[in-house]
Amino acid sequence: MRVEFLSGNEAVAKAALDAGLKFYAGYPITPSSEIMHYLARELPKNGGMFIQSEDELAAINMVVGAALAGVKSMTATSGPGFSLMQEGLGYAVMVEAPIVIVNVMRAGPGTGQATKAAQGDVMQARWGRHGDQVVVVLAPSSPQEAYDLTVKAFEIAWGLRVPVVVLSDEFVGHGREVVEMPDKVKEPEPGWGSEDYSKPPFGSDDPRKPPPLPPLGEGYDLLITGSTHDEWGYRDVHSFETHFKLVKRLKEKVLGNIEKVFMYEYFGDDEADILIVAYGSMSRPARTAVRRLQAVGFSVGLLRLKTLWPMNYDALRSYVKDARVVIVPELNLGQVVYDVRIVASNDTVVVPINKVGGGVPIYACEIVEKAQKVWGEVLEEALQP
Amino acid sequence: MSKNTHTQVQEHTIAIAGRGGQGVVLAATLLARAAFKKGLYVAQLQSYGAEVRGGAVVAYVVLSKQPIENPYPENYDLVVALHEAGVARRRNEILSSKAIIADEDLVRSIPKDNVIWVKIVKSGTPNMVALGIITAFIPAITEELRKEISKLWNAEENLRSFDTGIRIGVELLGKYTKLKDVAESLTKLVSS
Repeated sequence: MRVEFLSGNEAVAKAALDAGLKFYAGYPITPSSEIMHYLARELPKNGGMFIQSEDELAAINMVVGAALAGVKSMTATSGPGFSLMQEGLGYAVMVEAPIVIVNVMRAGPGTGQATKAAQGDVMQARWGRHGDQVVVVLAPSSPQEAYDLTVKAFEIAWGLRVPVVVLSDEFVGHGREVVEMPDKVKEPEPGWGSEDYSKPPFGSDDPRKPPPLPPLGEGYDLLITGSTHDEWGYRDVHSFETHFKLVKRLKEKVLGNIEKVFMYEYFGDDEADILIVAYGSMSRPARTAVRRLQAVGFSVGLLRLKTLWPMNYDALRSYVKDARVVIVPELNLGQVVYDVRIVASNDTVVVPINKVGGGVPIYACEIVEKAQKVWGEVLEEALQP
Repeated sequence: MSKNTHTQVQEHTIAIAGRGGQGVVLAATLLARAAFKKGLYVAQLQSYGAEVRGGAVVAYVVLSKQPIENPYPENYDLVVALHEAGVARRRNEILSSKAIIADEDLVRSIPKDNVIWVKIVKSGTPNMVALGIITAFIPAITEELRKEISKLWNAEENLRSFDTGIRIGVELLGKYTKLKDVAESLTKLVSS
């Protein structure tokens, strides 16, 4: 076990190296730059290649190319750069490139506040591309989890041949904490099993299993295209059958593995009256709020989402259904609160707490205060004749 | 009613508030690293602007014997304020803190009764004097901090300012009882 004092950004970079990263291309942007600073120094020493590209568009496309060549590859950015990467990310979904993209969120839109934390890119991470597509989105809450979930991101990307977004934020990325890391991480294995290249590289009989990815340049003529293609990679930009089959498989590949991909943690009372649903940095004051509310006799729990997409609505519903009040603190104007509203019954009071900008967190006392106020209102209403 | 009884979490926070260029973030990082080397769990966060110099900077360190639950404290156990800019940025958090030590030349907005005024910036390298003052509250990390500062550029001058800070801190501790309470709770963290 290695124990070090690291920022979340350093933890991401270390995790990537441990998971077998051999190629990084990126363009610096606050608050993600420390990831590339670290890898610029360390990746070449570990037999990898580092490129500072001319912009984010080039970076994501280089990363896709490297992944298709069979190399573990990654890029990191923040909101404005993430916007520029959407086209490449959509292409990566279509060609099934196993890449990892880290977005260390800052306050937007536009260039917003470069040095201030926010959680405003949740919906963009899920839906930022055109067309029907699913990527996986993971949200670390601390430098420790930045390490753990980055390793996990490579596992999922290479397990399913799908892009994975690590959605960190400025608090997590620039905050420094104690991080425990195993001495050795098992390099994630490709989910398509043995290198049997007699099988089609863009088709699979089992929708939950990704097709094999033949490494570029190794005795295999292959067309890789972002246009609709059949299971052998031939373009077909006319037929309904080919397109529908392809996009359906790309979706089912991820959703069919939702048990593996969807991660969360619950803390607090069973079947709590008051449920807090939180993720990333803001799940930590939420946990303190749970303890404080318990101390004064409330039945309360925290559902901490580590995966933000795909959402396991059944799992979410199983916690929300027991609660009378659900509080959703987010460093944005309300995004994950919509997921809670989807599964909540009409009797459940769903209360967002929204705050963003200036690098100001949502404090535990604000969550406690809101919970007590809303609980009071619910009781009062229940007591009315 | 809750079935799981809540466990007590003991987290203590030391904050430094100042202005870009004073070395506020560096000081907090050194403090955190020294505490980490003494076996504590630490979280160190900061708020700063896009400027290289100028702009508001607040950096703080959360210390605990257990893994840090919540690195976003509503107020701090000890604040050393080096410039008005940082104080303005986290005014509520700072004003509700247990003990505030502020530079008498560069901090203006804190009500007089709530604060202990000292010459910090004029006594040497501002961030090192601040670190020295803080170290007087947790003497157990002095040697680790000295090692960290020795690695810095211009170590000699920095160490001199650090020692000046310790002298100021010790003097203040002898004078104000409310500071003694804070020092006691911080010292307990490292001693046992």
